[in-house]
Amino acid sequence: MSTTVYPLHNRAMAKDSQDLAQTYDRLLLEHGAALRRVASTYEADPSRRDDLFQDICLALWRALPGFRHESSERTFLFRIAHNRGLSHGWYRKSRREVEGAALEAAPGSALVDQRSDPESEVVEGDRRRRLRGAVRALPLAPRQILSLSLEGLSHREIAEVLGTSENTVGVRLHRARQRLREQLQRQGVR
Amino acid sequence: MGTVESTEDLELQDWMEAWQGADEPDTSPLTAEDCERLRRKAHRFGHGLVLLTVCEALVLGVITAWAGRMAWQEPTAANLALFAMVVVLVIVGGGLTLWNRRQTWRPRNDSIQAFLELERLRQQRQILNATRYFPGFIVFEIALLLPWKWWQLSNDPEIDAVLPVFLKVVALITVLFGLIMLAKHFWYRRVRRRLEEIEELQRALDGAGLDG
Repeated sequence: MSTTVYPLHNRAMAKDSQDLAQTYDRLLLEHGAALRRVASTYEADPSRRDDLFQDICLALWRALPGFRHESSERTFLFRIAHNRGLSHGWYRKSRREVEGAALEAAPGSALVDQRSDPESEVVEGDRRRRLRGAVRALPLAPRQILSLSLEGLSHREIAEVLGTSENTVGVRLHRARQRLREQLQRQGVR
Repeated sequence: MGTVESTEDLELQDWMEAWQGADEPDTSPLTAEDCERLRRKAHRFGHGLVLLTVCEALVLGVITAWAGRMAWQEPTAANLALFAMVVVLVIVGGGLTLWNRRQTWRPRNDSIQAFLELERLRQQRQILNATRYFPGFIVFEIALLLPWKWWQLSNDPEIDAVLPVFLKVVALITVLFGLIMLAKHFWYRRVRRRLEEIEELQRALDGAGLDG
């Protein structure tokens, strides 16, 4: 479990602001897409999802001076992102509202891009959206653990982000995968 | 078993590839400058809250000083009693406020569990404040001030003229208190709902909600 220190002194003393800006830019460059995906697990509506992503960016900026590298950058980022996601969820009318909009992955709604094989890209894109919709439709606990696992985090890293033990992560992840499988089968996708 | 595991690994690998595939338009993230501007704005808001607390402390200080000055210049039993009551009320009120805010300033670490625990504590303390501390403090305040006022008036030769005013003041205090409690009741229901939601999330994350 992380023991990040929250400094009381002025942030200007903690880190030079230019360094801070550079670190911030680098983190977003490396992990921006993953943070967007975290936002997508909490919010199906695209414009609200953008707002949530910006909230996550701001939360990252505010938390950055307190980051002491006692945990990896990835776990630090995911903790911030999921905490913002949780707060965002509380301010929504209800979870059903979010989940109801989650299964927006209707075939044919895919944005056609200009890559070499448009047809297979559309199929792939559709599959991705269905997967995200299925993850988003899961209850919070399996949704969080699965999204972290799908980002490639190890059991130890997931345990660090969630503040739980590796054993618990193992058991919960197994169940979460089972649920996702069922959810995808209901949608007709493996 | 090994086959099952490798099948599951392949499945996970497959999901990971699909999950991480970039098919959503990128939203431009906030720039560092934007973040700093917003942080400063929030910081100013934080300063505003500190200023508000300082103002509250000043008002309490002025009231205490006023009662102390009266007791010093005219040390009658009534004035001394008033000063003692004001000091007690300031200490009890301030103490209760600080006591109720203990462990709610920041999370114990930055994990999701700690974040949820902090939110739960904050909601719980708000409920405690609304249902126990605030009404208890008001009743305590009235229980001290009204007998004192009555005792002070009973020594007044013009009691007959002052009594109706006193009763009107009592009625006004009662109505105001009732209105505040009514408002607090509706607000309390909202906080209660949020607390239940947080506790549900905590149960889910603790593993009790593995199936849920």
